[in-house]
Amino acid sequence: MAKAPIIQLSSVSRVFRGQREVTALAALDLDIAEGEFVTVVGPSGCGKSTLLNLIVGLQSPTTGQKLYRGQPFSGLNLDIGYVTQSDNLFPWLTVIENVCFGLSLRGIGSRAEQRDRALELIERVGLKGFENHYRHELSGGMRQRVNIVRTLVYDPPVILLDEPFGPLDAQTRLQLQDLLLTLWHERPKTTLIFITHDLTEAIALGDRVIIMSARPGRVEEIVPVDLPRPRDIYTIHTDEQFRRIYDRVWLRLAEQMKAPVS
Amino acid sequence: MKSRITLYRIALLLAALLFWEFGSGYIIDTFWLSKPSLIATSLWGSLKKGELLSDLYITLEGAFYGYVLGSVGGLAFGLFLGQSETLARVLQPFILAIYGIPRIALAPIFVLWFGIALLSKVMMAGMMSFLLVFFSTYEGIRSVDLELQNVARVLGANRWQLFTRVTMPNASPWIIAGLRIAIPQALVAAVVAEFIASTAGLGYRIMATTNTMDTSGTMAGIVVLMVLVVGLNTILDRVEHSLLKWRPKATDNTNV
Ligand SMILES: Nc1ncnc2c1ncn2[C@@H]1O[C@H](COP(=O)(O)OP(=O)(O)OP(=O)(O)O)[C@@H](O)[C@H]1O
Ligand SMILES: [Mg+2]
Repeated sequence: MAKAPIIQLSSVSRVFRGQREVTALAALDLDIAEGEFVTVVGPSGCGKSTLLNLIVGLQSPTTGQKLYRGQPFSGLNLDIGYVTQSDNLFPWLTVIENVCFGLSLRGIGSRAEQRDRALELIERVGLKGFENHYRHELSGGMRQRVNIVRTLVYDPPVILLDEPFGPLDAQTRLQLQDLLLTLWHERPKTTLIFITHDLTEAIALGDRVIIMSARPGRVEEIVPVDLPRPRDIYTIHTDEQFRRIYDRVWLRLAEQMKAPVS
Repeated sequence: MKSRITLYRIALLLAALLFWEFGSGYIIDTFWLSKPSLIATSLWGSLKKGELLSDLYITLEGAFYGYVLGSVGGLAFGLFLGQSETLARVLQPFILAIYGIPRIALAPIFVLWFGIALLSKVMMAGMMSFLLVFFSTYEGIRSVDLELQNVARVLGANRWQLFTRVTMPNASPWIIAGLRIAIPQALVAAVVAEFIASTAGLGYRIMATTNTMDTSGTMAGIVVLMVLVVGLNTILDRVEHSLLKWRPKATDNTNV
């Protein structure tokens, strides 16, 4: 990895103190390079969402250090966009208003420019004609598309995505994976950290697949995906190399799933 | 379907009125309950004398000023307290205690303090509106969705933007509901103040006619009050609906 790391986590842990103390992350080390597409897999409840919350700065680590472009940081990092696990659309805003929200808060461009940018992306995710719909008038998959576009539209240097395609059907999923890759190729400097439960998706999209251990979450193994880009998302799973990587990731993950739940 | 329901309603209303009209004197005593034709005559009479409109005006004036002052105050205080966690926790038991007072019970002392003219009505209606609007605003502000707030912060919202563009719209259904229920309540409060002591107004008229055993006059006053509240509610329904277009209707059956 020749490129400079953009995000570095060293022995980061996160403990939740409630009725019962839960160690969500324990001594996690992770370096992510600028422009990299990293995918993260791991058993449910192992701390994947917590990891993203720490990176963006919505939560702070109990111990350990975070660096962004080599500098320690705490608090919210506005360079980082976050597509959350649940859609979290603002129900009082229409689709286009939701998509323009970040641009408008940050004062990027005139109103007309904001609209144009938003409309272009809305069209590309297949929501043309739904610009003026409210959240309750959209299906789960449509909401999730708006959720993704809402972050893409203001071009943050780093984007975190927490199972963004989770609630989608297989075909839409493929289309959106393809679109995400296309949009990423148009912004080659953008760093993506993408959580998924779907191994095929993790390998097809990522430069590296990070396998997390069962709770307390650590980085169990990092599997490099040396498949050439651009990738054809629709046929890549038939590739010989792909299958080898898939088996390797699957075996590692199965070990973690067999681990007794603490 | 909808028009059939309306038809049934009209039929039911007519049946009840007819029963009242013709049952009066046989099944029920006209002296105690009057009957629709007598009430209509009484209404017509006070309308011609100009009494009806001037009573209406006097009551509505008190309710209106009280409502406006109370709502503005309740909204401001609710927003303020909703923002300051510590103060809210300090004041919580006191606020709950005040909320527990049957507010109508304050009417006599209000009349004592503020006299029998406009002021006591304004204060009664004002207190009623203040409390209702305050509580709903406070609830609304407190109910703000933490995840939505976090999303907005990540998208770049500063504190002020968070307040105006997330907290406020999120609280708007509560605030609107509070503003809405406060309207008939302010009216009732003004009428109650007039019951205690007054020289004019709907409440005065209802009291005065009852004291002279003029049940038709009393019923006429109640009918006016009822029509007023029903009319206001219909208008408010429309306003609320158009302000909250973004909310799923209960009948839509969508997954929230
Ligand atoms: N705010 C919190 N307070 C207390 N415990 C929490 C909190 N957030 C997460 N946890 C705990 O931390 C652990 C990790 O949660 P997290 O949401 O990060 O898991 P996840 O890997 O994203 O799971 P999933 O794949 O199901 O989304 C869980 O055991 C959860 O109960
Ligand atoms: Mg999660």
